[in-house]
Amino acid sequence: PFLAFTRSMFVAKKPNYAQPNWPGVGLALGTSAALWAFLIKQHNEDVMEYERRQKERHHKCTECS
Amino acid sequence: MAFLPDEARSLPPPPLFNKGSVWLGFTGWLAAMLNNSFNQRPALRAGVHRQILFTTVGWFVGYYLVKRTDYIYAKVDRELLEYVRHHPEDFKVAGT
Repeated sequence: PFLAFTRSMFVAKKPNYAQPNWPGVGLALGTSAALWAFLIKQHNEDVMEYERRQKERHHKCTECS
Repeated sequence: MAFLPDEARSLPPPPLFNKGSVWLGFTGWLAAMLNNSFNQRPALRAGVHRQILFTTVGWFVGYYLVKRTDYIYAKVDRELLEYVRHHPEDFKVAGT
């Protein structure tokens, strides 16, 4: 297999493909969940900000000073 | 220019399910499947966590790129309409 990086032979280990790489799986799924949460939060904030600006733009002052 | 200036927030944000996100999410998923193939793993059933991660990253990047696209188009439209407003003599309706 083609290795794009080199590891020192003093600390390199043979990868164990018999078991799932649980830390890797946890990191991948955790990052995905974090990214989705951030994206959904950002989208909702964007919608709120847009509606707020629309209201501000079309606000006809009648009683506020 | 910043990636998304503040005035971009005055535009309606793209829906969460938008063209850029779907396409880049798909390319992310494709990349995960190619990765599986190159490492001689079953293309669809292996590394589902990887497929999910790559798709998510693609979706995320797609959303921000579409937001910027909308902003650039709106900016160009505004400049175009400003020019038309300032030069009415060049834009007379035919016949009048």
